[in-house]
Amino acid sequence: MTDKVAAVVVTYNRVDKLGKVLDSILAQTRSVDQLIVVDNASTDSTPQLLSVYDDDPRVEIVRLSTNTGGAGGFAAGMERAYERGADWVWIMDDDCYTTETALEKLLEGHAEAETELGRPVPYSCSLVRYTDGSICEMNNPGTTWDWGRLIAKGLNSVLITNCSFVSVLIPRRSIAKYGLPLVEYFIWFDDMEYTLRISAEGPGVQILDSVAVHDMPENRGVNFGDLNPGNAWKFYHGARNESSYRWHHDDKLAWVQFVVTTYAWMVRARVGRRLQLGVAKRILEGLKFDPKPKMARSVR
Amino acid sequence: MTRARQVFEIIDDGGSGLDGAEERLSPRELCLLAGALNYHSLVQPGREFRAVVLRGPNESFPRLTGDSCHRLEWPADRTVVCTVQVRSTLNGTAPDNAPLVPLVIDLGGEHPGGGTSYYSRAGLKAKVLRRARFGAPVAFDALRQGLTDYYEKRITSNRRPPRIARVESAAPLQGLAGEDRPPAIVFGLHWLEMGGAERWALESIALAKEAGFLPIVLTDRESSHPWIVRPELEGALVVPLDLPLPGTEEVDLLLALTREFSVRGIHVHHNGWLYHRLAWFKAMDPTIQVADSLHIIEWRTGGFVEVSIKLSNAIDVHHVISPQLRDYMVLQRDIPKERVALAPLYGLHEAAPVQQAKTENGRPFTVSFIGRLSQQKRPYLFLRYAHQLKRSAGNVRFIMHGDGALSDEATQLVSRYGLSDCVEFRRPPRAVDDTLTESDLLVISSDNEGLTLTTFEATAHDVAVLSTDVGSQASLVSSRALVPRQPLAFLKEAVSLTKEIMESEELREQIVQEQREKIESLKELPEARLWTKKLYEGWKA
Repeated sequence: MTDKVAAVVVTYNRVDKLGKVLDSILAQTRSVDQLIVVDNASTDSTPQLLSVYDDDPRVEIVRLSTNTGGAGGFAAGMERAYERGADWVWIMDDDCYTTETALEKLLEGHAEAETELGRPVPYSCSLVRYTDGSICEMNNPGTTWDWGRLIAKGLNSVLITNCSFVSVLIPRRSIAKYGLPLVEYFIWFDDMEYTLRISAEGPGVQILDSVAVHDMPENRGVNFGDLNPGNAWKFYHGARNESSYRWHHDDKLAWVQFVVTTYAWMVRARVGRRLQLGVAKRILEGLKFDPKPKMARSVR
Repeated sequence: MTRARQVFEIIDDGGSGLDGAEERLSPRELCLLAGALNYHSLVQPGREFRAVVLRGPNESFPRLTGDSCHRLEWPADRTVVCTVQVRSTLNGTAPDNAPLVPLVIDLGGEHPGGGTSYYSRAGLKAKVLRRARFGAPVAFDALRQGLTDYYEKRITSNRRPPRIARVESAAPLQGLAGEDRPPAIVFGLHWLEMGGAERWALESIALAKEAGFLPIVLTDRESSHPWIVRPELEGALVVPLDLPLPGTEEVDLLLALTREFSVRGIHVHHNGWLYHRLAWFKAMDPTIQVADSLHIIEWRTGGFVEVSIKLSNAIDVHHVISPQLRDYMVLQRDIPKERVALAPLYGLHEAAPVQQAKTENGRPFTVSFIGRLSQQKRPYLFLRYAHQLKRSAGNVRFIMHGDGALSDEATQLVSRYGLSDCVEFRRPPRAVDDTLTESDLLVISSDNEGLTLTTFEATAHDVAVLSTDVGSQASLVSSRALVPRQPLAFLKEAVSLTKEIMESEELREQIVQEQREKIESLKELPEARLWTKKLYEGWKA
C-alpha cells in the first residue's frame, strides 16, 4: 500500500499569498493525499478564500477559535494529520511556494538517506530560496560536523541538526516517538526545538533538489539587534523559548553562550535599555518555563 | 458425550458418559476428560490407559496433564467419580503386551473464572495489599495509575530486550510429507473462559474449521474452562495444559503434533507457553506459518505484546486490533510495517441500528456500566463517579450490567455510598441490548482497553459513550468524551461532562454523531474476520 502524505499549512491573515501556496501543494508531481489548512483565527478574508477548496476532498480546513501562533497551528495540524493516519506530514508556512517536484524529491531523498545511513531519518527539509532565486537567509538549516557524508556517497543531500518549518517532511515515526511541537512556545524557536527534539537518534537531512520558495518581504535573517518596540513581543517569545530550551534540554554552557550572544547583538545594535531589560526578564522566565510535549493519539 | 476430536478409543467408558451413554460427568467435565486423554494419547501413542477420574470441590482447578496425573494418590477433598479405560489411536512404538498406563485425572470443581487473584493469595504481602486495595479502592487505584504512568512514559516504550534471531536455513522435517495427515492449525489460548481475546480466538477457530483445517487448541493457564463446551470447539482437538509438563512429555507432545498432523499454521492468541515454542516449530518446519493476535498494551508488565515483540522474528505476521497497537509495534518498537496487520474486530458483533426506545416522560437520565466486574474495568470507580454525580445532579439512575470477581465489592460499595435506590444490577444472560435501550450514556471506566465492542453496540443504540482515554478508545469515542485514566481526574472530568450532557440533548447527539463518524472511518480498514479468513486460505497452499 502507498504511504499517505498529509501536507499541513498554518495560516494567519495572509490571504494574498495563501491561494498560491495551496495551489502549489495540490499541483505536486507526487500528489498529497491530504492537505490540512490550519486557520489560526484569521480576521481577513481567509475563510472566503478557503471556501474555494470545499470541493476538493483532499483539503480539510481546521479553523481554530484563537490565534495559537505558529507552534499551536503546526501542533494542531500535525495532530490532525496523525489522527487521520498519515504516514508522512509535510509542513510549511502560508508564504511558502513549493516547486512541483518538491515532495517527490523529499520522499526519494529521505528514503535514499535512510538506506545509506542504515537508520531512520527523523525529518527531511527542502532547500529554501528567496523569490529572486537566491538562498533564503532566514531558512538555512544548521549543519552537522559531517554534513557532507551523504554527498560523498553521491546523494544530493546534507546532514542537518535543525531547520525552520518551511517544507519539512516528518515521518509518522518521529511524531509517535517524540510528540508534537510545543504549543506553549507560541512563536519563535518552536521549529528549532522540535527538529532538535526529534533528532535524538540522529540528525535530519536537507534534500537539495527539493526546492521551496519563501516569499518574505525582504531576504534577511533576524537577530536580537533588530529588536524594536513594534516587534518586541516576538523577540520576547524567542528569548523565553530559547532560554528554556538551552537551560532545560541543552547544556548550561549553551545557555550562557545564548545569553552573551543575545546581549552582544543588542548592545552592538544600540537596542534601548528598556527593551534589553524586557529580554532579560524573558530569559529568566525561561528558567522556570519548561512545557512538555503533547503526544499524538492513534485514531486510525 | 463430547463432540471434540479424540485421538483415543474407548475400551471401558466406566459410566463417565464418554461413549454417549449414561453420564456421570457434566458436559464441561466430559470435555475436560477428553482433553486430558487426548494429551496422554499424544505423548504416549499407542498405549492403553486406565484413568481414575476425580472431582474436586468448587473453586478448585482441574489437573489434567501435570505430574499429579502420574501420582496414584490424591487430596482428601477429591471424590472418585469413575474409572475409564482408553487406548491411544495414534501409531506408537508400544509393544503389544505393554502394560496399562495408570492415570489420575482431576477435573476440579466449578470456578467463577479469572484464575487466582493476586489479592487472594496467601502471605503477609498479599494481606497488606488486600487491606489497602479493598479498604480504599480509589486511593489505591490512584497509586496504581501513577505507577502505570511511570511505566508508560519511562519504561515500557524504552524496553529493548534482545529479540530471538530469525530462523534462516532450516529445512522441513524429512518423512513427514504424508498427504493423509489432516491439515491443522495450532491455536494457543490463555484459557477457555469468557474474555474478549477468547471470544475472538473461538471465532478464529471456527474460521479454521470452515477453511478445512483441524484446529488443535492448546491452553496454558489453570482454569475450569467453562467455554470448553462451546460449539466452535466441536471437531477441534482440545488439549488444556497444566504446566510444567513432566519429564520429556513436552518434547513428546510437540513431536506428536508435528508427526500426526500436517501443521500448516500456528495462531497464538494469548498463550505464553506456545509463544516460547514458536522458534522450535519454525526450526522444525519453516513452512509452518505463524500469526498472533494482539489486543492491548499492558504498560506495567508488558504483557503479551512484549512477549510477541521479543519473539517477533519467529512470527510471520502480527495481527493487531487497534491503530494504537499498530503504531506501537511499528513506530515505537520497530517491527517491520509489512509484518503488522491492522484488522479491527468491529465485525464480530455487528449491531444493526436500533430504534431508541422513546424516552418515557419523567424517566431519569440513565447512565450504564457494561462489562465484567473486574479490576481492569474498575467498577469501584464507576460507583464513586455515580456517588458524586448523584450528589450534584440529582435525578439520575445507574445500571451496572455484568458479573465477575468484584461483584461483592460492587454490592458493598452501593450500600456504602447510599446508592441502593438508584443503582440497578443486571447480570448475564440478560441481554445487553435491554440495558442500552434504556440508557442515555455509557460510561467506560477501564484502566486499559483495546477497542471496546460495547462502544459499537452503544452507538447502534444511539447511546453516547464517555470513556477513559486508554488504548484505542480515541478511535471510537468522541474527543470531547475522552477523560483521563487517573481516578481523581477521571471523577472530576466525568462528573462535569455528564452534567453538561444531562443539560444538553444537543451535546449528547453531537457526541453520538462523532462516534458514528469514527466507526464509519474505522470500517474502511480490513475487518478481522475477513482478514483471518484470507490468512487461513493462504495457509492451505
